[in-house]
Order: sequence, then structure tokens, then C-alpha cells
Amino acid sequence: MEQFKGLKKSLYIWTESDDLDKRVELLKDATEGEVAVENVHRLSFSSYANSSFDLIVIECAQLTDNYVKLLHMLKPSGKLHLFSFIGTVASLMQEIKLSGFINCSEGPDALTAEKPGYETGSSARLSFAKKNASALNVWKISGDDEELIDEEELLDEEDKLKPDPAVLKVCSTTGKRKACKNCSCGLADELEREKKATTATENIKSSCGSCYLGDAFRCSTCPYLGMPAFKPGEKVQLANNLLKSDI
Amino acid sequence: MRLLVLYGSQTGTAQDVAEQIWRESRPLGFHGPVLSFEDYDMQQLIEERLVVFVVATTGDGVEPDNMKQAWRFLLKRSLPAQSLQGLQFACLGLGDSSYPKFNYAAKKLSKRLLNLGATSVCPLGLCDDQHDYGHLGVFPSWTRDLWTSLKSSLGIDESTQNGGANKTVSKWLIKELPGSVPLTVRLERLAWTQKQKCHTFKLVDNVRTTAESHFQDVRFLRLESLTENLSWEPGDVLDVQPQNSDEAVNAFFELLREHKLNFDEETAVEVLAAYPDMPLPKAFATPITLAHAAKYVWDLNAKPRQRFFEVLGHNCSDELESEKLAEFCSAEAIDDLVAYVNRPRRNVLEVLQDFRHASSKLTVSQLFEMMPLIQPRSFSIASDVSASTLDLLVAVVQYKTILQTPRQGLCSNWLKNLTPGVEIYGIVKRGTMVWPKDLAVPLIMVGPGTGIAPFRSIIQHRLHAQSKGACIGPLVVFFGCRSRAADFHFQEDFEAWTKGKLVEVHYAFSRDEDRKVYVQHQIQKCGERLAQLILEQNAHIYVAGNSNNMPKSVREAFIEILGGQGDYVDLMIKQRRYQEETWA
Repeated sequence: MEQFKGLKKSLYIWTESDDLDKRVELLKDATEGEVAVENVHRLSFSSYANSSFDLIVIECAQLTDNYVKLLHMLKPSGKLHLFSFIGTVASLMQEIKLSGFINCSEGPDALTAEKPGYETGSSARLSFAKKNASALNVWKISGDDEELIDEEELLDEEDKLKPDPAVLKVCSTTGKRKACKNCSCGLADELEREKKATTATENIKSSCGSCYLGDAFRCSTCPYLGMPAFKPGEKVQLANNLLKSDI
Repeated sequence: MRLLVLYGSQTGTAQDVAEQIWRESRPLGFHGPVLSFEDYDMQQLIEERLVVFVVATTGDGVEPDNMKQAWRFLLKRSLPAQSLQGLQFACLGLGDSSYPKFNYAAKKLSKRLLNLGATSVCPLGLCDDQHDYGHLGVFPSWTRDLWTSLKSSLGIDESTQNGGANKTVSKWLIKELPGSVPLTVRLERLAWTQKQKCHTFKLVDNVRTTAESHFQDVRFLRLESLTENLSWEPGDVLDVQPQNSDEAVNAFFELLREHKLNFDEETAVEVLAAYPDMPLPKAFATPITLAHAAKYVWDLNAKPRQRFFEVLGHNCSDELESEKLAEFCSAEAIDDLVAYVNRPRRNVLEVLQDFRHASSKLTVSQLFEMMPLIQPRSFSIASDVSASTLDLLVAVVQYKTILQTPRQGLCSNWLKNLTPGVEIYGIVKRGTMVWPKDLAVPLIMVGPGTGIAPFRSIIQHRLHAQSKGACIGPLVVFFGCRSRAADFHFQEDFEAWTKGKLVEVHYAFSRDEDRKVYVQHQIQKCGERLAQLILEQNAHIYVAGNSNNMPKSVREAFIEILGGQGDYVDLMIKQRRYQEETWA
């Protein structure tokens, strides 16, 4: 279970109550994160939010389990792990793939799969109907005044779902203070120290030598942000208020 | 193996995504065209084995113009249920979740294909403009999963394929023409480079409707059609294609001169398609000079996409710049790309000015490969065909970001600077609003700000019918703006309508009084009258304008005056008795 280390939120779906605590502890130790616990029969009554788990572990999986629901409960790229299961590997893998999981693989006595790395509102089902229709002719006849199906009927309630707003935000990466590549003003060192200490730092005056390169290379405290790269020999005037010293 | 990429694109983004997918497919051994739906014969779809669809949704749940005809074909009831059983497909949607019908075009297409027996090779991808990374929040990981899925199901071994950098796959071949050959360039052909034939208009009037002291410039433009018998319906829109400002064009050539590049305004080229896979845009159908390309074809005001940075880095010998340009193309640094380009709305010209070493090595081929093309924009027609002119009400887009120079909308500023007498080109397109055929049906119209534009056309239309003896139902209008003195568009029309008791007008001048008055408050004020019109006279409600909070607040106001009957309003929406046409 070492591969689960670092997964912050897991869900353990159990069937047998004997020694349940021990098994949950094992998972908690392996992930070093939170583990929610749910009985397989109570799963349909539960109301977990979509995209809430990094990992879902099922003790004794069956073909009839609601894998589509588990897919929704997983975060994008979240993992599904089936410890043991009833039924053949092939049929279970097929069921999981049909429900929208990817990267399904078979281990020594466990199956793992992954949710795609992006949110979707619907999962596609493969069609196995093998009707032989000589449809070619109908396609080749073009008739502009033909009757059309009602396109509003195509989507059901699940298709119309909008993404969870939380999924749209990229955490911890906006508005960061970034040092230039060859930082000589000390910002890079400062940021290093900040990682260890939690004391607030003073404002850094920008004098790293990267200002002339343009916004793509400037650090976040550069007074020239918003201005184009300097032309060779250009002496750039900062707006008056920026020239005031901080001291 | 043949892989067809079909795209439905309104602003060029879906097309750009489709071309990127084409580039990525080539090292895997795929070949095949990248076509917009309107360039592809849909009857052929039944013979395809593998297709990737890139589908943008425009407005609220509407398919792009270049997909309309193809979509109609696919909706034919006569298409047999298993027609597409030989087709494997993948579908990526581009949409915006701030609209209720998020990505409906892609969702509906995907469903319809499955209904017709096709199988999907990977789940439907739904890009969202509301994501911090825009469509880049979903597109890169979706295509990774697509290739993984195709590689495993088709047993593709990459090492045996036409390896080689897909990065240098260019769409076009540029042939520089000798200076001695004179070029005859017809400017009308460059001012309108879309597929549909355009109409010609003469600009009669260009007047600012807002006070000079008001922060926003809004223009009332009157056009005279030079095409005989041009007709349009109330609610229709006019598509026009803007041009770059002379300042932008000059700044561009100034940059070329600075770097002492050996091509300039007069350099003439012929553009040829490098692969049969990608048809040449109409703009390049005949040879042109760089001056024409910079003025009429390339959008110097557009935000560069990843392909722009990739191509800019092609000949760059400066390590720092090369690295940064490559970074911007990677999936890992999307955050940096968004911070550098999208949030400040930096344009291609400014990026060229920032990357001096890369720009100093530019070739003409690179420019044609990387420059985005100018797209047409749509404006609601604000007059009825019975009036003598085709009128537009255009808010000039200008705002500040962290960049020193303010951001300016390309089309609105182009229109603002047009002088009466010039000729412009455009086409009339159907709008989304549907009007009751029975003129006696009352119309309740809520159009704050420039939202009032389409309503002026239906009002003129009905009043014209009335002047010819027809009996028309009540016309009730709610108009909101900041101040009577500042941005009261169509003031004269409103006063004429009120004076003649032809239209019931309710104003919401939000800043004229101590507390903010908005259209929804005015709706609540005459709740009883409105309820009677709606419940007893089958009144139709129309809401147009900015899509922020206004449509939601207005809908809540209507629900309130109808005694809280949210269901009744939902039914009205289904029956097209309540329609919203709003824009972001």
C-alpha cells in the first residue's frame, strides 16, 4: 500500500465488520491522510460531494456496484482500488471502463483504475449493438426540408450539469512572489528562508538586473511591471510616484 | 491511419485547438485534414473510421456559425440508428460555465453521435473559460488521455512513426515575390475575408451617445446599404470585420526596422498550403504585401496562444528567451502563461516587443505561421428595415490592466474612428430572439445599457406596422443606465415614443438618486400591470444586455411579481415566451 502515500482524503468502502478498525488503520498509516469509512450497502444513501476523494478503496467489489457514482466522488486523476472482488477480472474491468475510468490495470490481487484528469459532465457508454443497417443510402440523399429530431431531447439532467466552481480555481499558484532566474537582489534567498521561517519579510526593492528584459522575466516586485522590455540604450522613466524611496 | 479533425469555431480558439491536435497526431503516424464543419461534406461522415471533434459553444448553448448546417444534417430524423457504428470519435468542447447551457453544442453532438451508433474512444472533454487557465485547464490533459487511449487501442508504437519534431510542422509555404511584379490588391477583398458573400454599406453617421464627461464612449452608427433590397428582421445582427489601427501597424513595422530585418511593408508574398490537410484561408487566396497583412489580416491586438510562442522561439539563439518561450508552451507552466498573457490581456505586438532576441530573428514564414487572424464581430441591429438606415449601438471597449497602455477592443475602436462616407462590409445574421407572429401580443422588453439596441428595431417594426393600419399590442420597455445626463442612449427616440403614447417606458437611472435604481426595481414597481399582461394577454418577455448579474436579478423580479411562480417562468422559457440574449 506504499503507493498510496500522500493521498490526503480516502474513502474505505467495507463489507465485513470484523477487524474493520485494523484495516482502516492500515490505510490511514499508508496514506498519512484522512480516511472516511462507509458500508457498501449504505453507499447509495450517502451524500458525498463530487470530486472529494483522492482515493477510494473497496474491500469486496461487485459488478453491480455504482462505479459511475464513485467516479463522480473522486477528484480528477483520483484512484480507485479494488482489494478483492466477485466476478472475473475481465468483466469487472469492462464495467469500470464503461463507467468512465481510465488506466485500468490488474495487480496481484487488486484492480486499480484512475479518473480522467479533467472534469466531465457525462460519461460515454460503448454500444455493442451489431445491427447491419444499409444506412449509406440514407446519408447520401441530401434533403434540406427534412424533418429534424428535437435537439432539446438529447440531453438529460446529468448531461446538463455544470462544473463545481471549486474545480475551476487553481490553488496556491496565483499571485506568488517569484524571483528571477539569476537573482542578485536576494529575493531568491529570501523566499528560501521564508519557507522555513514564518516571519513576514520586508518589501524588497528591485535591483536584480532583469528589469530590462520584459514582464516575462521580471520578479513580482519589479517597479517596471507593465512596461515593455527596454530597447538597447533606453533610459526608462518611471512614473513619478514610483521613484519615491521606501525609506 | 486517417484521422479527421473537424472543428466548430466562432472566435478561432477551437480552430487553434484543432490544429494543435493535428500537429500532435502526426508523429503518431496519423494523417488527415483539419476542417471546419462547413468545409466538410457531412455525407462523408458515415465512411469515416476515426474523427476528433472540437466544438465551441457560443452565446448561451448555441453552436458556432460554421457548424450550423452540419448540425442540421445530423439532426435529420431519417438517419438510421446504427449509421455510425463504424465510427470511433473523440469530442472536446469549448464553453463557458457562466452561461446556463454550458458546452451544450459539444454535449449534444456527442450524444447524437452515440445515438447514431458511434463509439467514443475517450470521455467527452469540457473546457471552461471560467477556469483560471481558460480552456487550457482541460485541453492539454484531455489530448494526453486521447493519445494514450488511441495508442493502446490501435497498438501504435511511436518509435516506428515519422518521428521528428512535430513542432516544426508548418501550415503554409511562403513564396516571396520579386519586387518588380506589381500586385493588384482589391481592398474590399481584404476588408472581408469570410466565406459568405458580404454586403456593402456606406457609413452615414457616427455619433457619440454618451456625454464627453462620461467614462465610456458609446457610438451610434448609421449605415446605408448599397446592396439593393437588403432586408433584415428585428433581432438580427450585423457581422463586421475590423482592421488594425494605423498606430498598431506602424509600431509593427517599426519593430521590423529596429531589428534590421530584410523584409518590410512592401514585401509581397504568395501563401501556399504545405499540406492538402489544411485549406488556405480566403485572406491568402491571392498574393499580398506585408502592409496589407498587417492592416487587414493579422490581429495585432489579439492575445497570443501557445502556438505563437512556439513559433517565435524557432530561430531564437538567446538562451534566456528560448527557455522562456518553450516554458510558455509546456503544460507545466500554464500558470505563468496565464499571468503573462491572459490576465493583463497582453497582445502579440507587445510580446514581440518583449522578446527582442527572438524577434530579431523573425522570418516572413514565421509571421504567417504564428499571427492570429482577425475575426468578425457581431452587433445587434438597432433599427427596423422600414427605417432608412441600418443602425448600430456600440460600446467602445477600453480598460486598464497592469500594463501601462490601456487595453482597447479592436472592433469597437475601429468603428469609433470611422468617418462618415467610408464604405464598410458585413453580413446580416439571424439573431437568437424570436418574436410572436401575432402583433397583438404584448412585448415586455428589458434592455439596460446597449441592450436596448435590438429592442429599438422591434419597436420601430411594430410602430411601422401600426402606421399602416395594423393593430398592435402594448409595448413596455425598461431601460437602465447610470444617469439621464451621461449615457441615456436613444433619448430622442424614447421621448418621441413617450410623447406619442406609443410605448410605455420605465427608466432606471441608477446614479441619479441617492439609492441605486435598477431595471429590476422598476419591474417590481409595476408588478400588477405586468402580471396582468403576462397572465391574461400572453405577453412575451425579452431581456438583453450585459450578462453579469442583470439577467438573474431581472428573472427574480419577474418571478416575484408573478407571486413566486418560478415554475411558470421556467415554462415561459421553454415556450420561448421569456428570452434572454446577453453577452459577457
